[in-house]
Amino acid sequence: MFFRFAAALTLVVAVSLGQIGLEKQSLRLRRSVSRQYYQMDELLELHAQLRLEIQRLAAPSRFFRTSTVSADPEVVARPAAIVPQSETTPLGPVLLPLLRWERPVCPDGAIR
Amino acid sequence: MKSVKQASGWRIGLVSGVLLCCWIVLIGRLIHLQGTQHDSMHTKVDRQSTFTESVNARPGEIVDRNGHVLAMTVSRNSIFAVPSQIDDVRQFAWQAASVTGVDADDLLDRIQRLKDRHFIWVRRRVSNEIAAAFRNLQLPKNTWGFRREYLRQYPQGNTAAHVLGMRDIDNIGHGGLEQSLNDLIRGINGRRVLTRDARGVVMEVEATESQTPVHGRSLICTIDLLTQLFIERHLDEVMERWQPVGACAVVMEPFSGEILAMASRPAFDPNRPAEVPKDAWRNLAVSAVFEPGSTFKPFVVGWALNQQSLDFLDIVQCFNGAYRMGRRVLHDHHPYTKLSVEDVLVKSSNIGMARIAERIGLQGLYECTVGFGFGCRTGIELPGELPGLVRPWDDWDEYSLGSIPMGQELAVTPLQLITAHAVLANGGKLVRPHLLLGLPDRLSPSLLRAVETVQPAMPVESSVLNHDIAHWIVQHPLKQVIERGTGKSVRGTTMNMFGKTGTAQKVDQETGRYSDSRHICSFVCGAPTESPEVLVLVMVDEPTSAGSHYGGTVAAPAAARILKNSLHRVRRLERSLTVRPEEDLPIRLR
Repeated sequence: MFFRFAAALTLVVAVSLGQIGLEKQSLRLRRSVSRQYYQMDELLELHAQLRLEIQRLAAPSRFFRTSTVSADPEVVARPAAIVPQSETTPLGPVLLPLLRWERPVCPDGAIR
Repeated sequence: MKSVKQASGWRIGLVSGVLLCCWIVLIGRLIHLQGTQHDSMHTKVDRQSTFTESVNARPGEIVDRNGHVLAMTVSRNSIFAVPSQIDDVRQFAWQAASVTGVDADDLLDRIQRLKDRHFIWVRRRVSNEIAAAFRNLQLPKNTWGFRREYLRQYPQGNTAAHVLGMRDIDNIGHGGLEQSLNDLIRGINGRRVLTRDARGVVMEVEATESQTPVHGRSLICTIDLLTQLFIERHLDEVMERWQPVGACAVVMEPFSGEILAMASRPAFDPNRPAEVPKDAWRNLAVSAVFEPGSTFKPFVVGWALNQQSLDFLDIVQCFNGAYRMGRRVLHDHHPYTKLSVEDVLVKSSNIGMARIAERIGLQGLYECTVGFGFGCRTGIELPGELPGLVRPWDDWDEYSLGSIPMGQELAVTPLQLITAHAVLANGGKLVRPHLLLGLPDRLSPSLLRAVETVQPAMPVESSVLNHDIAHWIVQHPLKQVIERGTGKSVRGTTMNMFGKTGTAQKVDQETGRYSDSRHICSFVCGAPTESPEVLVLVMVDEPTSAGSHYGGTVAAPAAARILKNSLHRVRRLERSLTVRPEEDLPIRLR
């Protein structure tokens, strides 16, 4: 009688513990999935922000402005912000050339 | 011994009775709670343990035909305060204001006024730098917090602002595509149901009761960003040179009705809604109505030729510059005795046009006006489009026979005008101008699959003119307008272009008569004449700086420059359309 009772009790406890374990595992998995969704949202948001920045920086209107500014001789003569130390001469810093979007042409018309 | 047993039995009975009563009371209460008060208690428990929050849908993007982003959405932190939890209000307000840029006195006043509240905004949608600085203030934890909110951004600045419109803080579109396609772009908000414990800590998300938001759809529009930049730049030059009240320009592909660029002045920056000038909201291309003037004349000639009331080789008597029509006398700028049909348009003779109109009659003139689409909206996907003004047939009289052929007595929008000229350019078909790009064959479907697209309604096509007549008008009179007519200020360009100038007097509101000093000048042109690829319209409203007020002088140079750029651009477009590759897109858009 005692053994039957103990066995039944043990079975009930074992089933309960098993259920608790499964529920905890289920909860852990759901949390993991939630975290991944959150991470995905964050990455998407980061992606959106970086893409916005790229679009801003690569906006054609900026190149329009650049080309307009480059055409102005006074603005072209403005010192470059970054000057390598090795290219500094006694007469002053050697300016870095601006980015060129067309092939440089010699005075005689030949393409370098 | 017996009395002890009796006393013990009595006590046991008493205790048992009390316990039984307790159980009965407890069971009764349980039945009362679970039975009669079940619903109200269940609601109470739900209210305490579950919390529903809205999950905002992310509005879709708008990209140009090459994949340049014109409008997109990012999320930003909004800072809120909990006034009921703030002990030192002054210190909180001063510190918060120091990093957020809000007015400290205003914030202090709001917190003190709403002391019992659990939520007030400090500043919404701040930059990441401000959010980090606010976090570093180390204010008491329960007195403030962040919420994520979406912020609409326009990375191209004020480019195509009138086409795009803008989206407000509540995700509602105002103006442009943002308004007209609001239902598509904004998406549908979802909701998240959370279960909390007694301390308010979230335990679980109720997946079965939660709803995933349906994000807004991304759209590809027909705008070409570079062409758009060209016309914006040229319009700025027009505004600077002629100091007009307003101006607008439209670039259109005449066969498909695709709008490649559309700009209006004054302009605004949709990224700064608070700084929009008063009159800058209006997109003049669809909401300005004006008398078309001479730009209307080719339609009447085309209609007369189509009705066989006129022949290409006819000679029109022009009566040396003065012609009486009923109670009025019509005049030409220069006296002409006789003009060919071609020269009537080239010289823009009012008398010649009136003589041609007499041949088709008032009924034919009305049919011509309606047939070219005037008097009704074009159906472009933009809000606020006006139908123009074509008076009801009953109001037309003999006076109209002289006025309508020279572009008076009716009012049109710039978009209607360029759409009507597209009929001449494309061989006689009236197409619907549109801004949403469909899936034409020349675009690679495999690449376009990357972005959700909305199929626009098929451009309505109706045949208005005979193909040969439309080609003759473009290749002869309208080409000669540039060579030796009113548009010769743009002669000499390498393009094989055609065009028509228009100068209309505005009505003086005080006198009710045509003003001699206020004009609207316009110029419509296209190229190449053999098979027009691009049409350009420039309209300038009241040029005020000293000099000319004629369409050939004010609007034509800018239109020709825009045409040159657009033509160059369109030819490149067909070869190298670059829609973004799939890997460049967020997952939800693939």
